Amino acid sequence: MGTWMRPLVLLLTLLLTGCLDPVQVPLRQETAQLVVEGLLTNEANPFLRLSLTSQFGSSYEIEPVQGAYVEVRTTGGEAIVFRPVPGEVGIYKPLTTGFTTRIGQAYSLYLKLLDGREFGSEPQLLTAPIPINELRAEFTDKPRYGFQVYLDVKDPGNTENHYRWTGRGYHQRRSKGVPVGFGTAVCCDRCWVLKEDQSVNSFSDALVNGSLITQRSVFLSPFYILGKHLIEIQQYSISRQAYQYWNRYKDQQKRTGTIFDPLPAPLLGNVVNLNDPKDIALGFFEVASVTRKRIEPVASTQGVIAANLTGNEYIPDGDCTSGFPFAIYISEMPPGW
Amino acid sequence: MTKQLFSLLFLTVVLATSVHAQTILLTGEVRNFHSQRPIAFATISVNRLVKRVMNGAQANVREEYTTLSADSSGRFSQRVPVGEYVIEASGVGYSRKSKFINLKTDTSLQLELSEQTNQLDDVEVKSKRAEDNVKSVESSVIRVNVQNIKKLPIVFGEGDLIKALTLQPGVTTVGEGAGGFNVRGGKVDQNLVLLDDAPIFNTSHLLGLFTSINTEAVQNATLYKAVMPARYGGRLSSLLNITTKATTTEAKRAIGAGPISANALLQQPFKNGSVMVSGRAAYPNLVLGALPKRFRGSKASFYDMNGAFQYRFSPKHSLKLTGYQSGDRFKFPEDTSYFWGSTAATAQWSSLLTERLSVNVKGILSNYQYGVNGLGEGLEYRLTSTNRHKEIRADVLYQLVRHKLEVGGGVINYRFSPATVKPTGTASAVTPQRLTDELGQELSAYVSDEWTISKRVSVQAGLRYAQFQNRSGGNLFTYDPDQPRTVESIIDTLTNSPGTPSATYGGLEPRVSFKIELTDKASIKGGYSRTRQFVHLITNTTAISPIDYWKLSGKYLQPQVADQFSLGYYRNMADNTYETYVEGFYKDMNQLVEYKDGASLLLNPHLETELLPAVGKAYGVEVSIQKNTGRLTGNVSYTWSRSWVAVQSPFVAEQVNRGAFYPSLYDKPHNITLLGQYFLGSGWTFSGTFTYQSGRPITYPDGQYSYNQSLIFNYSRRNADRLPDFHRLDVSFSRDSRRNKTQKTYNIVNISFYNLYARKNPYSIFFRQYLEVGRAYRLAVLGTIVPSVTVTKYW
Repeated sequence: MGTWMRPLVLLLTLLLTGCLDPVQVPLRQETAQLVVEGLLTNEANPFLRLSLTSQFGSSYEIEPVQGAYVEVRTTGGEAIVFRPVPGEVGIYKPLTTGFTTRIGQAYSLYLKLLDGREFGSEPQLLTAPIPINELRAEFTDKPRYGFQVYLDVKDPGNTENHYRWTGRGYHQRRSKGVPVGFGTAVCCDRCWVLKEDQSVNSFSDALVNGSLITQRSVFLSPFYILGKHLIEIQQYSISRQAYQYWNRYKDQQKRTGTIFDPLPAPLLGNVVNLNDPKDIALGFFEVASVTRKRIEPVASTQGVIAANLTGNEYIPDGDCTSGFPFAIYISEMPPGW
Repeated sequence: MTKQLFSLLFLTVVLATSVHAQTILLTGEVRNFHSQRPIAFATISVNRLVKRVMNGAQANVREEYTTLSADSSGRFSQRVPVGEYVIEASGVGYSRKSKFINLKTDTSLQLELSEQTNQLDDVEVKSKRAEDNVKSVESSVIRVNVQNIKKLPIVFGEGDLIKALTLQPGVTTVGEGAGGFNVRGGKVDQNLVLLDDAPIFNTSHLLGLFTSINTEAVQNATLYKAVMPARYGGRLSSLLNITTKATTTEAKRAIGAGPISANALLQQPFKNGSVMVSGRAAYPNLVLGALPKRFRGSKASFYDMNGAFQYRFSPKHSLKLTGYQSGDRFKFPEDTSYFWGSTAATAQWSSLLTERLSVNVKGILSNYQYGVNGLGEGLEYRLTSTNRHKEIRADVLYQLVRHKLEVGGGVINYRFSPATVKPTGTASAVTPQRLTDELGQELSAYVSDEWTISKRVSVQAGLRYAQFQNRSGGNLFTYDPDQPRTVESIIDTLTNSPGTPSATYGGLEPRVSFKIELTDKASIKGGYSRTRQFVHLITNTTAISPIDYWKLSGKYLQPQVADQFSLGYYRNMADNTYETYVEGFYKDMNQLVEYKDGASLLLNPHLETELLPAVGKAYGVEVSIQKNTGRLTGNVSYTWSRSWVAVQSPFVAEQVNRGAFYPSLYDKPHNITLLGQYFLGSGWTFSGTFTYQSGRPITYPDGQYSYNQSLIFNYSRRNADRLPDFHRLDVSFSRDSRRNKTQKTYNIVNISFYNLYARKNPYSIFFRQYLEVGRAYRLAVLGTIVPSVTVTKYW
């Protein structure tokens, strides 16, 4: 290729790859929509947040629904009134303490907003929790160093089941510490760092009903220094409708902006205006039984890997807990462990 | 209704066969004067000389008897009363020629036309020839002058068939670089693209930047936007019928090169036959390789080849073989590469049994293979999908004085392999998967007649019957009818053995066009057609992409059906210098394929759980003024059209936009195109094209909220927003070195500037979270001026 062609070729290349610029576009003003995020389990502490959509592009602040009348109703005719919790944005909690749920009971949500609109869900059955058979942790270097946690569960054969797993855990980190006294002694150079996995990990037994579901990857606990990891996996037995909701949720989060993207869509759930079936709230009122299982793998046998890491760690100065978010000192076990 | 149509056709046939007393048979062939190649679809106007008394003296007056259209090998035949005639032949890109003849007995005529080279009536894509605009019974038909594409402004040096078509009213694309084209508010997969009668499932090179058919190899290209001939069917919106340069009597060679590709053509006659080979290979990696570092991993390549062989066993029997092969690869710097390619082959046997009766028998194969290579470490895989189409058909043509009768039929066998995933590389953790092959059979039969009722009135009426059977093997699911279809609502699973019909669909498809001439220079034309489509492109993105796949109709995927009405007023002015028309259309579409919100389409064995049937309607008015002669030629057209869809599921949760009609992705209300060519002298022509289109519908977020501790954008109304309007000006200077029409060695140079004022027309606008806030980004595919030079040499 002659030198005279180079500029031409360069010019052409820039065109082929397309150009990407941030732009201002006229955005539609739609009336705010109701968002219901609810989770009722076989444990205490139901979660319910009522919020409204806010203008796209505004700062990330939750717009709470004020003054709604909320009931969780059972098919037995009971009604538990939920009240807003002062200081917690959009959160509603049972009026009475000691609220418990019962396996085999179905629960529905009823809301009356200040504008008079009434919303409700169909009754959602609280099914029996399914125990987690086993958790296994395997050391991995992909996509990063850490413990990959796998789960086995025996799927009940007599019913259709849907699962959703979440995980949280503590792993250890190091800092240079804070000097203590006159020697080389330091304090506060090791801490526990919390990691929660908010990604949606759902599964249907449609193709494997009744069999043992094995090697389901449920959590990755990152590895930085030798020591113990504290990992807890939550397994929710969710309804078919909830499973479908989470699948749509997952797909919409996958959008990356390429020309191969699927078409965007609203995430409508199971809470519907009782007088207008086309007025559907965003979000889902989920009734799911939960089981938890813990595993505490120790990263002491991974000498080789650890050696590879030595010298490459990120070790901040000073107090370990100020170097990492949600960290607590290693001398203390995290609460609940 | 069906019965009545049948009786009407029957009556037509009976009437037609009884009217040939005192007539003779006029047959003939229209050829290129220089190359002796037949001119397909040339127009032959048969004018009778009648003695009339004018101003007291007797004079011969020309009275139009009929206008014919030659077939694909340039031949025509017509019964006419004995008498004196002036026969006039014309064709796109050729000078008109007249011949006086006294017809007493059956006569065979040879008409030879000269090519227009630097002449000025060389307008690019023309709807039809001069009087045809008014006199032909066809309407909404675009015939492309392939020769002139080389003189139009082009991008990266590639003369492009589909880009030339989008300069015509009613033809658009969803964006620059998007594959395929949209006709009158229809989807890309609703166009039947035939290359020598073989269907081409993907017409794109480089993900849609170019058309995968080399214009150098193309003899004719005709687009039917409304009523397609009854012989054809299987797609809803249009027929693009492309034939390759199969026949020649003169050796011809061409080579050409541009910034991205080079191509070559060889045509060689021999005794009683001829052969043609052409090929095009691209080297875009030269361009991609010089990219800034972060793009450097992008690699692309494409090629295409055409071949044709034609042999005459006797003056009455001939054989034509054509073949086509294309291939594409595109690798992104990340971990994926895409590939796709088509293979097509046609064998055609033609016999002229009697002077009035001819038969064509064809065997057609088409194979489209496409897929993805995953290159992620430890996760290497290859996903392949294949469409196979095998067809046998026969068409019989019978010509009478005022009738041109055609009957025929065919059978198509489909085998679609939707997806096969294989791990590649020894360390790959990907598990092999294969979805069951889909099998189908499509039968069709038709009759049609072009009936010249009177000098001013003619009708082309056809009736086609198509039947489709899905014969796939594998699992057939039964879903609970009281619930939205999901994997979880399966109540029964049956296993179907391959070859057993599991679903059968079919029906009649009437096709009618008419012409009523009001004067010699003005006419009203209209038409009605019904079309059915049994193969569907499953795509959840805006344009065709290599991960979209094709699916046959089946138990849960009904055929798409469309009815289209069109009516127009056609008028020529200033001795046919100006051709104008106004045409309106209305199209009603049923069983369109739409998708549930957030549908997952790839490798889904329960695809029916993600599909929703939709209804659609499209309507509009197209206005065009074309100037055909003089130093300045060109055309101005304006289209106003709308295209709507509605998903009206009985389950409220499945409805899109609450079941209301919303604009489809192809709804671009205003379209203006200007095309001008000015002959500068010394072989130079200046061309300019300007396009203005309303932006296509798109969904912008109209809210945001927090859920599961994440920021979620809410898209509450599908297609409620619009991209900014699209407009672009392209110019070119081209030089044709021929000094006279017989010169064999010459070259054509094209210097083009695409997107002269470098407008960043958005292909799409999308939204991402930037820090804690959502932001809009614009993707422009060809957002700057693109210069290019292409040289083609002929000898």
